[in-house]
Amino acid sequence: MTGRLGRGRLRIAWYVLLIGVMAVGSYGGYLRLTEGLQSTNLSSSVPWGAWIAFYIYFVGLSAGAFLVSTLSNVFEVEGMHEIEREALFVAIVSMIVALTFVLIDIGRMERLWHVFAWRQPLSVLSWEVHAYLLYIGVLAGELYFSMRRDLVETSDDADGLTGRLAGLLTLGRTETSDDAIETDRTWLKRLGILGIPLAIIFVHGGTGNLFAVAAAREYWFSALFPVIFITSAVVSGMALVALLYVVRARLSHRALDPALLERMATLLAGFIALDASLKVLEAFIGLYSLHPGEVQAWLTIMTGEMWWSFWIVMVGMGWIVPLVLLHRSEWRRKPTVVAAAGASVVLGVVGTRFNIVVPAQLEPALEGLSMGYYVPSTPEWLLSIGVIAFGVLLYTIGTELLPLVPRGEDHD
Amino acid sequence: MSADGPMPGVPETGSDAETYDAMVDVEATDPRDELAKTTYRTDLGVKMAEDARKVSNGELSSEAYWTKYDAEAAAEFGDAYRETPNPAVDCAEGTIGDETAESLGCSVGTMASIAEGLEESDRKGETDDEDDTRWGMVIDLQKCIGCESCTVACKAENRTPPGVSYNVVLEREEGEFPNVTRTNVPRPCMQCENPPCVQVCPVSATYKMDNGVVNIDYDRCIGCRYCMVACPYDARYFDFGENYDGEFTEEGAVTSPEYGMDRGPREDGESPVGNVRKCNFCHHRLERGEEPACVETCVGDARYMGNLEDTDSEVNELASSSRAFQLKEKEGTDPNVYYLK
Amino acid sequence: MTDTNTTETNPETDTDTPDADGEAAIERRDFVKAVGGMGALSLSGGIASTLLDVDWFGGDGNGVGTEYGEYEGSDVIHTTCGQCNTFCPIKVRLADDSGSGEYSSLVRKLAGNPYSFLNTQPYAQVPYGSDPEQVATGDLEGTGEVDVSKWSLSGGRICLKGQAGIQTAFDTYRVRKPMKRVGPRGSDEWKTISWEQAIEEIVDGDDELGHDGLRDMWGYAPEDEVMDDWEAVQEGELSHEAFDERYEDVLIDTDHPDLGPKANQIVDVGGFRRNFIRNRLWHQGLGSTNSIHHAGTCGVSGVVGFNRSHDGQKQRQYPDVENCEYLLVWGTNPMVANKGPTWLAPKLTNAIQDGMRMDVVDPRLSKTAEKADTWVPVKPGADAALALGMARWIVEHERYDEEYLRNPGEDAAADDDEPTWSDATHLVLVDEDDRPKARAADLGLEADDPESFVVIDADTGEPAPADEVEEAVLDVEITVDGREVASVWTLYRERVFEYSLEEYAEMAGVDVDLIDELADEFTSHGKRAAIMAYRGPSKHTNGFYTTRAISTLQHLIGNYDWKGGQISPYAGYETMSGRYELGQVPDGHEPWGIPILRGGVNYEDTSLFERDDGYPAKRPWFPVAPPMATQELYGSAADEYPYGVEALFIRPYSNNHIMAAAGGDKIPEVLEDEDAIGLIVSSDTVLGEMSRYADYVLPEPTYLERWENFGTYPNKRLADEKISQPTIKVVPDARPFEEVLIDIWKELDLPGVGEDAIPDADGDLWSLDSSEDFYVKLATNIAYDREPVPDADDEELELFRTAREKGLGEHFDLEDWRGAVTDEEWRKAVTVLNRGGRFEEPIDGYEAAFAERGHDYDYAGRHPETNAYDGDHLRYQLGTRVNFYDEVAPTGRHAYDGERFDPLPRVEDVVHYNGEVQVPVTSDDDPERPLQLTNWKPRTQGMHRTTGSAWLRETKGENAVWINPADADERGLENGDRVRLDAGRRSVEATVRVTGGIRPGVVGTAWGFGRQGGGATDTEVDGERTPAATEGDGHADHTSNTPGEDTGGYATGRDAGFAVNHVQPLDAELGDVGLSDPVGGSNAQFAAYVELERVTDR
Repeated sequence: MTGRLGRGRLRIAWYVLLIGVMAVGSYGGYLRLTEGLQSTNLSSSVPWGAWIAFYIYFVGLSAGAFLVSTLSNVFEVEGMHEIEREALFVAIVSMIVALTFVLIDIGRMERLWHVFAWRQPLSVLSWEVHAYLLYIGVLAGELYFSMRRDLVETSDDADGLTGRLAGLLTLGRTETSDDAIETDRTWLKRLGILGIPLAIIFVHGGTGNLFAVAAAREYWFSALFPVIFITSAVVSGMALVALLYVVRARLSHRALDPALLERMATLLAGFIALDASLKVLEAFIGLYSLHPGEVQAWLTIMTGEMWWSFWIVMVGMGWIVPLVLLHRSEWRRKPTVVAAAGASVVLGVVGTRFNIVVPAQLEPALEGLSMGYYVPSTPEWLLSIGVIAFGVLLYTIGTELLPLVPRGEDHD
Repeated sequence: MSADGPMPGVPETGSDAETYDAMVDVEATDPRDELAKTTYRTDLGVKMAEDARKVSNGELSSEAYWTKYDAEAAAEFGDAYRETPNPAVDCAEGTIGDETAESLGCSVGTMASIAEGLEESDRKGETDDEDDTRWGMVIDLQKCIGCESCTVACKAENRTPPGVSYNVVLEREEGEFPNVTRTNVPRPCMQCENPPCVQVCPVSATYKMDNGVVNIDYDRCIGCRYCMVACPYDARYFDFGENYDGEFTEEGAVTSPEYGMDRGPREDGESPVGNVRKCNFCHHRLERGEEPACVETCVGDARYMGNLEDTDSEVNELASSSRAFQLKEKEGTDPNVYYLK
Repeated sequence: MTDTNTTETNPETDTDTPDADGEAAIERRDFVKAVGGMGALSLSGGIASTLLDVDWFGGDGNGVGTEYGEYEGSDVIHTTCGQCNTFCPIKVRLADDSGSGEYSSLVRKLAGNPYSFLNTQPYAQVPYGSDPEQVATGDLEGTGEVDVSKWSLSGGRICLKGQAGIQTAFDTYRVRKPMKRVGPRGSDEWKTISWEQAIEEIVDGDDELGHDGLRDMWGYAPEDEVMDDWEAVQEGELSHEAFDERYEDVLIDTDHPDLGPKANQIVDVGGFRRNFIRNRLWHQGLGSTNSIHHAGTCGVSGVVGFNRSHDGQKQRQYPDVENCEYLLVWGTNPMVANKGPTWLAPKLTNAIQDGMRMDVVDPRLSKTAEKADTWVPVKPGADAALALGMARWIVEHERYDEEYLRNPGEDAAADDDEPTWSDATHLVLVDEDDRPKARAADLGLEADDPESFVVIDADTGEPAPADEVEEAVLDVEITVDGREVASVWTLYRERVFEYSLEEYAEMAGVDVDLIDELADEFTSHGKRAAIMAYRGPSKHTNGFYTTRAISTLQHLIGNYDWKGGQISPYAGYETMSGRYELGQVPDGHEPWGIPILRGGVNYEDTSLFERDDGYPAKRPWFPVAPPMATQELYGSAADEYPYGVEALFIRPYSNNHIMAAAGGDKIPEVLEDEDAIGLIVSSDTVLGEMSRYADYVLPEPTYLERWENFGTYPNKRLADEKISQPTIKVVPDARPFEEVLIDIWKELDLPGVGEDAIPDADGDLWSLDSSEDFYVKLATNIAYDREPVPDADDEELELFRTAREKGLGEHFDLEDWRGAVTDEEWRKAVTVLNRGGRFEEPIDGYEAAFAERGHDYDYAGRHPETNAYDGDHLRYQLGTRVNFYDEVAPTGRHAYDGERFDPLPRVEDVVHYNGEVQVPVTSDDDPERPLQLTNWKPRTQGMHRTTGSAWLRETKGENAVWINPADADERGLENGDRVRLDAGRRSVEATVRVTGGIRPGVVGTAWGFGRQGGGATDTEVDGERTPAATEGDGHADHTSNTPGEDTGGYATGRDAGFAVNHVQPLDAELGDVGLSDPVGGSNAQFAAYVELERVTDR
């Protein structure tokens, strides 16, 4: 009873917090609407900034979370089933947040629909936008097939909003026979198999390609780029799912599966190591090339105005902290430690994304043009926080209304 | 050896003197004999020939010559004379004044009129065929004095807002005192043949027009700025919607009909605000027969504009000279702006 | 060969002799075989390999329209650019009506005027008779097609400052109504008043501000009347009291009548409209001698130095660029400044590409030096050492044109086909104190003209009048008729040999080898070498002598009036007379008295000499310069030396002395003092630095809105005359100052305005009530000079009317304009006005030639019928003697110590009035700080009048201080660092530009920044505060301003940078103004010594 009450109060506080953050963020939104992009610190020499960084961050998060979900439903890694839906839902919400960042970033928001009206066969971005839609469709389908049985049960059990929503979401397929469940699993696997290349090649590798094909920017213009994009995506997705797993278990007083936890932690550490080594390789190639553009970009990253975003956020929080936290097997079984490592990575990868987007634009394309300069403006930060809070809100509502944890395992 | 000899000679090699002799017809014929074979008056023919020599020596003007012989020759040679092209007149050697020609009843075709005729027919050929124009610019770096008149002319012509300058002039300094050199490199949009900006645009808002100019459809562009990061020349600018309000009375009242679109006064929230912009080779000026503002005003006489497809054009000649190069040639963008070293 | 052994008859071989036949046949067979498959070869190679690509980049034709902004002749008015003192002819294209505002029309675009050769270089202008409609629409036969020939010639070139003129006219900060100050002078608080009130208070005084009116101040009496009476006083025929009584209301000081009438205390400061305001209104209307322009801050020492080096009018040094083989550019920057880039730069870039060698003498790598073959980084102020070093080399190596120098006079020169001759052989009376040249009478010679110069005839060895001698002796030092004489050449040689080449090189800071090379090159091209010099060498206290030294280099090769040499064509059309005698004022006054700037008068010849106990004079006098040492005005007013200023009328255009004079930061103190100057009236377009201290500020139209007749510099081969006319009206209440003065003069009943003010050629009198009354007549004079221009036909009249109705709207009254001249003259006036002036055609029969040959041809230079040349000579010529020896200079004395000035060029230190050394050249004093600060014209600004244009501030935001890497390293400075620039009396913050393009030990910066007026300060008008435009553009927190990098397209604020004149040294004796050249009168502007210290990184 007290637990219930406590949770209720916590829940209200959480919603108040989210709404509050969104309210603050909406001031940034107001400035964005009235002043246009003048409210940003973007310029013609640095046309892409924080919002693009967050956009690729959330695309990465989505792809990472999705790939974690496939561990269960495609590769059938043992024991991962429990986090499958969670991962899928996180992937969907992340895509929604990512696309919201795209929307606020473009100069003429009211024309977003143009991307479906006109195309350019050579434009990666044009392909990307279409891939995103397909991808969100695949995610939604997977989530549907994964949840349907529980939805049917929920609609039978629960009344009120949850039940009615569950009923709607079954889309009228209320069979719960083994055959029907089997069909669900089959489709789930099929969609997962379809989703993997979509996520890797189009959604995330493609987003990497967005940058990699920009021949004008030597720092981006490399074949490694999309690969690194994917590894850091997996890192961030895995970290977030691990973090959410621990947090939600704590909040709902569920018992954690230490084996699952350790498995996730080990995978996370492995991916971090891979990601870090690829990054080092890339830095080495970049510096070794002695291309002024690349060398300058790397120098800017490491010693420029935003040095802290490289050393503290990306290297420190993204690599060193989690690797230290996860290097001992007993620590890998400690929920607190894993959650801390996950949180550290989730924030650290934000730094990675900034370091991808901004520095390459600072060095001018031609000698004699001015050096670029960019640090996000207050309205940019505010609106970013608001959009992220909106995503968290969506996620929270989803966890409340949807059977994201397989019913059988709900200890509540 | 006269540089204007009647026939080309064989290069002298010394040892081949004999062969050389063998090749030259040393026999001179007597003009009288030649003329005697004809049925015409020999004395007139000889007199005309002698005077013709005077003309060529400059002792007699060709006007005087033809005035003297025209009637006699007509009488003697009859229709044949009238129908035979008169070299002094019809060859248009310019040896005879128009008045004399008029009085002789023959037409004069000057070199200029022939050249003009040729040009006109060329010109017609082009306007019939739109595809034949590919606008190109040539900038002579030996002549560019880095004055930035082009930059400001472009601001005044295209009325771009603060922070948007379709043309910039970059200054590069090399060497040590006192052996210092500076090069001024003006940078409009290159109107690349293989434009990365076009390649990346998700909505085909920017594309290559038939005349080679890369345009931006301000009504379609969503302002994603992908083209800006893709351009290897930093030639694209985002219109943040800024204005010169505080300093320049009514500055938004005049705008430029870029790409032939007259959008009326500049207004908040109306395109091109929120779009990406760049040099358009002053498409609207070209269409009305004027060179771009930057070319018109170029104080160093360093900028040339013309049709790269037309082999008679100045830009074609300059762009194919050995001094010509393009910026970042290795990018494969193949700019239509050429620089001369 | 017969038919039987050929398959076909072979006509080609029929004529061959049988024995040659066999050989020929063999040749042929081999030939045909050898040629083999060549046909295929050239065919296959002829077709370029084509790959059929998919067109990935094409679009669907979206976003393209067909509205191209076409315009026609009636959308165009031709006038003159006023953004800098080059005054280029321009084409103003009016915008289609749009928006609403108080202005009459918007301006769509400015361009060069295609009728003027000044703006179409290196091509030819359109023929003068061309139909303006055809010119505007590009339909004229002979203008090019853009697709093949680069230029369509619908508009000519103008520089970036000219392009930005639209923003000058439409500046938000323009003065819109007559204003009267509310607070004390300089408080920036104003109230608007009516024109009537402004004029009334100026005429009759005002109690509120407590100033007198002109009516009370003014007084005049003719000079001869006063001086006759003064003579009588001296003779004792008239009592001093009676004299006092008679003249106390009209003379400044009855004890010193030579100061002139009280009218002299009403002072006009204004650069232009000299022929109207200065000559007609001030001199003849008011009878005041004091109408001052900007020369003292601009180039007066150069003008005086060049003028004294030639007998005829020659104030400038210019080459015949097109034919010059070697050009030495000396302390001028024709690609950026001079008069002006639009005209000179395209000539120079093409000449260089065509093989002309150009060397540039400048302490820093200017935009011109960038294009030079050799850059000569001279030490600032030491140019005379370089010039005399070159002269020494030339004399030592006998590389001068001896034949030229030995011609003593015109006839002798003419025999050698020389348009000019020199005074090298003329004799000087060296035993006299002021060492004049000997005249025939001095040496007891018989001569038609007793005043003729004397030379030693080379034939007879005897002295003879110069004009009667064919060839004279150069080296002379003898006694004639008991008088010691020496030839000018002997004296010049002596002067040139005063120092060794090594010493000269040391002083100038260049290698001996370089002096060798320059002198050698300069004398290796016959007459086709020339010097272009301007402010660099002349803006020092030794500027006069330096300029003289540079002139004499050209005397040595006698390149004047020669194709490819030094040119001096003051070629224009008559403006002030012809149909109308615009310079004549019936019953006008004759100005007289000592000018307040003390030019043209020797101190010791005045009544003040005795009053002030002789030398030193309280302030400098400029006995051999015109009274244009502008910088002296304010200190003189404060000291009332030689008399006080009662009323000061300022048109700051070219006379923003606070910014323009070295030490101008001292001027506000004087202006703020109401006792020093009782009434200050400014006519300004914005509240400039000077206007901020005025009692009244009157709104003036900008150059696009007013009449004017600017001159062109003598650097052109053909004649031209420009006319500026109103094209738009942005500020309805703005009135050109001359119209305001007409109203004031009428109130005061002064001559020269109103009824019967202007005589025409027949002696009939015309009234003068408006600007048009004067300027339409001026246009008519231009039209009728030489061969009168053709009449404008009906279509042109219609075009004239519609264009002005469009541009000026209700401010245009055709009848007013047309009424200013006769009906017969009107059509010709319109022809001139429609073309913005009159421009000589390069050849006769130009229209036909142009239609056939087009514009891409140098008619003036290449066509046998050229109007520019006469054989190997320029058509417009100097045609006079040139002077190594200036006998006028020694008639003047330095006002500090009474020393006579030097007749010869010389090397000198830069010194203060009292002789204290500022910049050591010959001496080796150590300056108090290590770095010499020079400065130059801003490439992106026209003096201070263009600061209001954001377009210009976007191209260059501030004036960085250039410093050589060696000096920068010593101080730990990097490009873009902020530094404190310590100039001793003041220090300022600045940004450094580290560049190898400046001489070590010298730093430099652009003048023209660091504004405190024209929108750079907050102002209050009628209680409403207008904030200054000092923010700068750009929405982001950061804008780029690293020197040497692009600015990112955002303008800085109007106050950006620092004012270089406010860190210049003050004269050690005077303490209230910078240093002055005592001979030429220039304000010395390159004289500071500074130290730099790092403040912050960029």
